[in-house]
Amino acid sequence: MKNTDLKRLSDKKQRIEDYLPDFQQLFYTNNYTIVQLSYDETRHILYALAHDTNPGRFKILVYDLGITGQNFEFVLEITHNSLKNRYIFLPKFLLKLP
Amino acid sequence: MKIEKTELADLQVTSICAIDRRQADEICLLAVTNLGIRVYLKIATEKIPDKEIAKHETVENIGQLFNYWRLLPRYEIVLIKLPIVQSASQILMNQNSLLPSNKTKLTSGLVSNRYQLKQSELSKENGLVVADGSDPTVEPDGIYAFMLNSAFQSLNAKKYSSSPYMKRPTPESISIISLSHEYETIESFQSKESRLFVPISLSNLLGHNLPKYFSFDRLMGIKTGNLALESLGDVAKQTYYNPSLLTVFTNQAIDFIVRIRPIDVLFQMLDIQVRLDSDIGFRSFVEKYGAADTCAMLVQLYCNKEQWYYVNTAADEEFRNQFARSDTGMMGMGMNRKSLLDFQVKCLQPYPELIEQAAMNFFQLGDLILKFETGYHIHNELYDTLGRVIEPEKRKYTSKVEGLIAYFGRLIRPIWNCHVFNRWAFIGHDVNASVEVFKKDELKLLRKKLIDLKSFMLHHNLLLLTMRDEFEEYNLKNSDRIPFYERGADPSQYPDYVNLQRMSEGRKNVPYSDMSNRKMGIIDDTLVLEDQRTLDNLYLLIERVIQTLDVLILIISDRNKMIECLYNIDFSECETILNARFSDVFREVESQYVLKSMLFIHLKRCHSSNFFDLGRSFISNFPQFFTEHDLTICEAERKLEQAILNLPERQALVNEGLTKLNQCIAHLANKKIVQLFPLFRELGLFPEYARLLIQRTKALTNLASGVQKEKSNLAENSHPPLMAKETISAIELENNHDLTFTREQIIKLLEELQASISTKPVPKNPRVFDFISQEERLKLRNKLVLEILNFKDKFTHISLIKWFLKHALYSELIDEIKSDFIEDAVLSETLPELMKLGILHKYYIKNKIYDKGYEIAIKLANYKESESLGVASLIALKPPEITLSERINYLRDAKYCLENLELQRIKKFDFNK
Repeated sequence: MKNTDLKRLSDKKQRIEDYLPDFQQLFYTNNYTIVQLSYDETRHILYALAHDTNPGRFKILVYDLGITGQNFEFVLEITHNSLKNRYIFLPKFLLKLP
Repeated sequence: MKIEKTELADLQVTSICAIDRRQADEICLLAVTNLGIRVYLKIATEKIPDKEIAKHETVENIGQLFNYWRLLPRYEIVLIKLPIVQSASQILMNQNSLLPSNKTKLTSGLVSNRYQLKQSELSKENGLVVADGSDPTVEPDGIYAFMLNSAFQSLNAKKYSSSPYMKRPTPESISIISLSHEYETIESFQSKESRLFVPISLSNLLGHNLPKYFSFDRLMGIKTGNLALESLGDVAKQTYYNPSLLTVFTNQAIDFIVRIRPIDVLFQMLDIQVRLDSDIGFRSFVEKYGAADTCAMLVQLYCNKEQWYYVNTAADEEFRNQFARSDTGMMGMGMNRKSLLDFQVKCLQPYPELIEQAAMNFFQLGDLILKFETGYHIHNELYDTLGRVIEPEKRKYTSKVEGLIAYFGRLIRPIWNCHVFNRWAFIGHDVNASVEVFKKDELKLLRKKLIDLKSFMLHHNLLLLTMRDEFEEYNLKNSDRIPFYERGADPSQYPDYVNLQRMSEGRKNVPYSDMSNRKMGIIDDTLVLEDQRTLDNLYLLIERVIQTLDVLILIISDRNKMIECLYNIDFSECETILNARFSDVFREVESQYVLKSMLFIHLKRCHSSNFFDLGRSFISNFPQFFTEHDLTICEAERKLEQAILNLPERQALVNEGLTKLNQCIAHLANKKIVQLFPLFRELGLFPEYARLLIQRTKALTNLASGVQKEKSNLAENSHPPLMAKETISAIELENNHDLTFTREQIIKLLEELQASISTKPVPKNPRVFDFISQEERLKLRNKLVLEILNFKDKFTHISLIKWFLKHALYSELIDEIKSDFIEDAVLSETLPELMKLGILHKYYIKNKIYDKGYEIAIKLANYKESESLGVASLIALKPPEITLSERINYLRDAKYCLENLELQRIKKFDFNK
C-alpha cells in the first residue's frame, strides 16, 4: 500500500523507555526496589521509598506531578548518606521527643 | 547534639507517609526509621511565575490549581521525633535493644488538621504524651493529655500532676476512645481524617477543601480572615461541626481522641437533670457560658433531634459519685487521676424527655435580661466583634430572644457572605467562564435546620411572646441599667452585623405576633414590645431565607440550562446576577431583583412547555419573589419575544402582550421598564412604549392619591394600628420614586430621539434611533409629543415644554403644544424675560386665548428696557431690545385680543339668551 502523505518526522532511534508511559521510568532505578509509594494529592507530589539490595541502604525519590497533576518530573532523591549526615548535624532544638 | 556515625550505621527508613497540605503547611513528608524515629522533611519550593500559571487556568483544571510553586531539588529536616517508648538518653546511649517486645514502637504518625502536636513531656514508665495547642485562635489554655498507646495501661499519677505544664483536664477537653477493632482497614482512615470533624455533605459550604478563588467568599471578619464559623470559636462552631478528632496510629491500635463541644456538655447536664433530677450541673453550665449562649444551645438541641452527642461517661460517673456523697458544690467536675484512664466517650441521641427538658430550661432561663453576660465570650475577643445577628445600637433583649437570634445567625453564617452564583474568573485575563453554584444537598440541609427553628418558634409562640410576671418586674426594675450595644453610630462599619429590621422587610404576609393589629397607645410595656418586634422581624427573616433557599434549590437543579441562559441575556443584567451575594438579597432591592429575574428566565426559557403550571407553583411557593402580576408580566414578555420571531402572527401577539402589560402596569418595576425597551425597539413599537410609560404614570398618580386619602384617614383616627403608619409612608416613598422615574424615562426617550435627529450618526456606536430615516424620526417625535399631550399630567407637561425650550424648538413648541401648564413651565425657565414673553404671546394668539394674550401683549408693549448703569451704557450705545415698531405691533395685538374678547362675550350672552 502506498501512502505518500505519511512521513517520518524524526530519524532519531527511539528507546524502549520512550514508548512507555512516563511513570514507569520509576521502576528503572538500578539495584533498588520500590518498597512503598505515597502520593500527596494536594501538592501533587509522588514519593517513592526504594530499598537497596544491600541492606541498610535506601533512597526516597521525589517526583513533581506539576500544577495540574498531569506531568511527571523527577525532582530529587534523598539518599541514605545525605539523610544521615543531616541528621547528625541537626541543631539540638529540632530534635524533639515524641 | 552529635551522634556517632557508627551508631547510625543501620539507620533505615522503613516507611514514608506524605503529609498533605491540609495537615501541615510546610512539612511534606514523614519518614519513619527502623528505630522508630520519625523524621519530618520539607522540600524546598519556588514560586511559579504568573504567566505560566495562566496557561493552566482552564475550567477543567480549576479544582486542581492549588499549587503556585514548583519543587526544587533541595530538602531540609524540619523535625525529628524520637520513639515514644524511649527517652532521649536511651536513644543516645544506644539502648534500643532494651525495648520491651510488648511495648511497641510507632511506625507511622499523623499530623492532625487542627491540632499541632507539640509534645512536651514524656514519662519514661508509661509513655504519656502531652499535646499542646489546638486551634490557635480559639482556646489559649488547651493543654491536652492523652494516652498514646493502649498498651500503656499503668499510668503514674504522681508524674502526671507534678509536671509544670499540666493542667487538670476539663470535661470538654479530651477523652479517649479505642475503636481500632471496629475499623477494618487502617489505610482508608488516613485520607479521610479531615472529614471526621466536618460533615462531608457540608464541607463545601463551610469552606473546606476549596481552591483559594472561592474561599474568600466564605470568610467572615475582614481582619481575621477566618472561615465564617471558626472565627467565632467553639460556641458557634458546634452548630455545624462535629467534635474534633485526633487520630494516632500505632502498630497495635488506633486511638481516637475526641474534643468534646460545649453542647455535648450541655447534653450531659440535661441528661443528668432528667435522670437524677438535679439542675446543679446545668446551673454551673449557665454560669460558664452565659444565659444567651445557653439558650442558643438549648434551641439547637431542641431543633436537631437526630444529631449525635458525645458524652464522657467518666464525667458522668464522677458526677454521680459526687452527687451521692453531697449535694453541695459541683466544683469537683474535673477528673481525678484514676478516672482519667476510664475516659470513654459514648455517642447518644436526644430522647423525648431530654428535648422536653431543653425546652423547659429554655423558657425558664429565657425571660431574664442579664446586665452582663457572665462567662465564656468575655474572654474571647473575637466573639464580640463578629457574628451577632442584631441591630447595632440596640439594647439587650431577653435571653431567649438573644439565644434565638444567635442560633439563627450561626446557622446562616456560612452562606451569608457567599456569592449566589460564583463565576470562575481569573485575575488578569478574562474567562471562558463557568459558574459555580451551591451544592443542592447543602442548601437542603441548611433549609431543614431553618425550618426546624421556625417550627420551634411557631410551636412555642405564646411562651416566646410573653414574659412571666416575676421576670417582668425584675427586668423592668433593671431596665434603665440594661446596657445598650455600643457599636458606634455608623452601621456600615459593621458589615457582619445583620440589621434585622431592614432585612426582614418584604411582603409581610404572615405576621408572627399579632402586633401589627394592635392599637397604638394601649401597650406601655416597652420591654415586651421590643422583644416582640424583634421576634416578628426574626420570624419574617427566617421565612424569607427559607424562600430564598427554595428559589436557589430550584434554580440550581437545572444548573446547565440555567448557565446557558445566563449568557444569553443582557450583559449588565448578567453582571448583576453574578455579583450578588446571598446577604444582598435581603439588603438591596437590586439583588432581590436578581432572583426574580432568574425565576423569569427559568420560567421563560427552561420550561416553555408547561409555562402556566410552573408559574402557578412559583406563586404559591415563592410569594416573596413571584406574584400573580409577575406571571402576567412574564407572559407578556414571552408573547413579545415570540412576536419577534413569528412574522405572520406578529400583530396578534403584540396586541396580546400589550394588553397583558397594561393589566399589571402599576406592578412593573423600574428595572423591568428599562429592560422592556430593547424588546419594543426590536419590534419598532416606540409610540407603544411611550404609551406604556404614560399609562404607568397614570396608574401611579392614582395610587398616590389613594395613599393620601388613607393617610388623612389615619390622621383622624385616635388609635391607629401600630404598624400602619410606617407601612403607608413606605408605600408613599416608593411610589413617588417610581413616579419620578417614569416621568424621567419619558423625557429620556424624547431626548434620545432628538439627539439622533439633530446630530449625525456615529458609525462606531449606533444609537437607538439611528436605523430609521430622518423623516420617520420627525414623525415619531410628533407622535410621541401628541401621546404625552393627551395625558393631562402637570409634571409631564411641564417637563415636555422644558424639553422643547432646552432644544430651542420654539416654533415647534408653539405649533405643536396645547397645554394648560405652559405659563408655569415657560416662566420658570431661565431664558431672557423678553423671549419668554414672546413665546407666550405667540402661543396665546395662535391658540386664541385672548384674555391672557391681551395681558402679555400689554406687558410687552410696556416692556421696560433693562437699565444699564452709568457712562458705560452711553458709550456702548446698545440697540434697544424692542424696537418701536414691535411695540406698536404688540399694541395692535392687544387691541385685537380685546376685540375678540368682546365678541366672545357678546356671543356668549346671545347664546345664553
